[in-house]
Parts: sequence; C-alpha cells; structure tokens
Amino acid sequence: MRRVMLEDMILTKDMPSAAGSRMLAGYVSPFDATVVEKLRESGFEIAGKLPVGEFGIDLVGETCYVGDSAYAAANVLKTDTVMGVIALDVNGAPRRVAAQKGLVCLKPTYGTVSRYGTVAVASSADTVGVLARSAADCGTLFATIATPDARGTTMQARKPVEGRVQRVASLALATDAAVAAKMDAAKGKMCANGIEICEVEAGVIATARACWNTLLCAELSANLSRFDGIKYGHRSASFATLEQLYTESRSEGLGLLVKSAILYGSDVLYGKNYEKKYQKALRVRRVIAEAFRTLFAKYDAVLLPASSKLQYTETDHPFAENLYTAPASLTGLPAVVAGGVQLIGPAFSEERLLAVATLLEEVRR
Amino acid sequence: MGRIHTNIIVKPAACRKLYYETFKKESKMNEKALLALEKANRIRLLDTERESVAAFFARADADLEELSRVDIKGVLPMVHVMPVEAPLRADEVCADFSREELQKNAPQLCGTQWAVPRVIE
Repeated sequence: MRRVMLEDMILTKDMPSAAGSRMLAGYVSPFDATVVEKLRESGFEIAGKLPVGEFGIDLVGETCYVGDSAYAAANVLKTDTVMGVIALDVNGAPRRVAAQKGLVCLKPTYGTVSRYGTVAVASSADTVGVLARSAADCGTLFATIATPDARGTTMQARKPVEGRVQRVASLALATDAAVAAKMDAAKGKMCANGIEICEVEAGVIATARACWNTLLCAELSANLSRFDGIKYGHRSASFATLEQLYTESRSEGLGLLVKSAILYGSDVLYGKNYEKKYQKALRVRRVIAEAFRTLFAKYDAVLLPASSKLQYTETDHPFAENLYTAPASLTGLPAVVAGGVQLIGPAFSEERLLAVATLLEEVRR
Repeated sequence: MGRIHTNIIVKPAACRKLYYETFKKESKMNEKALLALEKANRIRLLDTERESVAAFFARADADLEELSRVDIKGVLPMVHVMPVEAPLRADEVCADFSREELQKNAPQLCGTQWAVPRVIE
C-alpha cells in the first residue's frame, strides 16, 4: 500500500493548505513541497490532507479552526488505508499523538528532510517527520523523503550512524502512573533484548522546556508576521485604513494560543529582553546540546517519555506538556516514539533508533 | 539499574491542572505594556482574551526563572543547531511562477496589482 496523507502544514498545489488556521483558510499553494514531489516520484499516492492544530504548536491538533481535529493522524492510521502520515514537528504534537495512540513517530535530525514547501513556524527547529503504524513503515517513508534538495536552505549531508543501540540512558522525568508503566515496560523489553539501561539525572536537560518556549515564541512571532491580509490569506472586511486592515485581518485570522505566543515572542525580542531572555535562552540551548553530546559519548540513545499522560484534558497546556518533546526540538536531534515512549539519538542515527522502535512497537496500550 | 538522581524538580502533571487559572492572579504583565505589544504586532485582543494572554506571559516568565540556575558564563548563543551556509545558485533569471499563479490567493486585486487601502492622500 503506497498511499500517504499529509498534515496541513505541508503545501500542495492541488489541495488547500490552511496550517490549521483561519488565516490560511482556502489557501492553495502555487507549488508542491519537496517532500510531496519526492513521494510522488517514488510512486506514492497522496491520499489527502489532515487538519492540524493552528501552526502545529498545540497539544495534539485540538486548536484547528475547523473544529474537532485532535488526533487526526491517529484516526486515519487506525483505518489502515494509508501507509503513513507526513507531519511537520513544530512543538512535538506528532510525537505526543504517537505516544498516546500506540503509533510510531520519527522526528528526523534537523536538516535531513527538506523544509521547502512547509509552513515555517520555528525555522531553527521545524522538522518534517513521519507517523505510521510500524517502525518499518516509518523507515520506508523516511528513506523516501530524506534526500538532498538544493532548495532546502538548511539541509545537512547525512552521515548515518552505524551499529546498534547497546546502552540507553533513561532520564528521570515525572509522569503519571500509566506513562511510568509504559516506560517500565519499554525498559523491560530493551533489557530482554540485551540493551543496557542506566538511570541518569535529567540535569540541565530539564530546563529545555523553558528554553524552547522562549525560542519557539520568538521565532514564531517573526515568522507569522508575514500574515497581514495583503497578498494571501484572510483579509478582514472591517477596515478603512491599512493599519486597520493589518490589525483586523490578523486578529480575526489567528487563534488565541497563537496570538499569545506571538505577543510573548515579540516581548522576548524587544529592548533589554533581547539579551535578558532571548540570548540567555540561546546560550542555555548550547549548554543543553552539550549535555546531550556528553551523554552520547557514553550511551547510544536517551529514553524519556513523550507525554505526561495518556489522555489530555482541557486544562493541559502545550507549553507545559512540551517538557518531553522540547529537548529534541531544541537540539535538532532525531527522536523516535514507539510503545508510548521516546528515544532520542545522536544526529543521523534514525536507522538505529527505528531498530529499537521495532522492539518497542509490540508494547501497545 | 542505578539510582535515580534528579536535582531539578519537574512539576508532576497534577500541578499543571491550574495552568491558566493560577497564573492569572500572578500576572505581572501590565495592561499598558500588553497594549503596546498588540500595536507592534498588529493584533487586537478582545477584553476576554487579555486575561488569558497575561496568564500566558506570567507562566512563561516563571518558567524562564529556571534558566537562571544554568551556568552560561562564557557560553556563546546557539542560533543554529548545525553550521549553516546559505546555498548559492547561479545568478540568472528563474521565472518559476507566473503572475496568475502567485496572485491566485489574493484577497483583492486591482488589475494586475494587489489592492490595498489608500495610504497617500
């Protein structure tokens, strides 16, 4: 079965791409994203588009302007009509969906899949990833889309890491009992297959959420300033001046979570906050990346949860819940979710991570 | 397996239940500053939204306090996670898209131009 669906953050010439926002409702791109071209060249059929949370920053797709779009990718994969879903991992939503719905999700190393034709939100971290029912399907789709692209301005040459995962560091991060049970089951499975698990302190990695939220909001506020109602996108009917056109179009077109993030991001970049908040977060980012480098000198992968619970309520917030997905987003490292848990590996270790995912995908809810 | 050591306490899921509610009261974001940000970003918040946004700010700033515990002395900012070199192409005209393709999503056209309100009297 060579059919895939695309999340709505990936542009297509023949289907609208709204990125979950009223701002882009009905927008049809003049070009296909590189991943779309690669999939079609390899004989895949694009079966359709899936709604996402507005600009991909929410928990599991619940803030899409069209309504009930939470877990859209999981719902379609349950029907067994497509091989996988190609998603843009902005704030970890695809990984959370996979963890909670018993799927496999691969967020590749930043720069291995072209971002040409994806809606830019946090340009230093946005990564095109894959959701599927199995690690094998993830691997097939990843191999199809992870190829060089001259139009991708942040591409890296891939140097796959060889060998197999033998030692895993398990980060101690708090979760509820159900997720803790999944972590234990995953550790048991890995131990039974000869993988050594060592518990390690989270240390500075636990600050990844605060660091990531600062940088996500800052980059998002800059990227979303392009939506002004002039050349494309929603234009308000209530304006008399250019200023009012901008303000009313953006106010009507953008949702509350996105507006909050834009305003906070703008504040982070303004005046004295630029050094106090933004530059500080960039420095902490380097410290966290270094912490991972130190871990990977001794271990082949890092194990941590992808979410704090198996079912969210309306009081859960994406900017709190991304504690678990922020480390990989912030550092650009590859992450795979399988069996309800997440493994982060060194750059270009996707194949190695997917091999472990093959063991874990048998651990289902 | 070894012992579990965690010297940075991560709040369990139960504490996040009152995410918006708790921090609404603790917001340090004053209304004047928020209005200035709204103007700069061409966003007009409804009165009903302002409280939620202020709570968002309060929570984000509270989280930012965690970063003060990280030793960043002598650490350079990390803007890119990998070395970035802007790829160059040949200096030649590439007419990738026609005017019609680029303007097909235009909210309002005036002939071949995008229509905007008058800005010069």
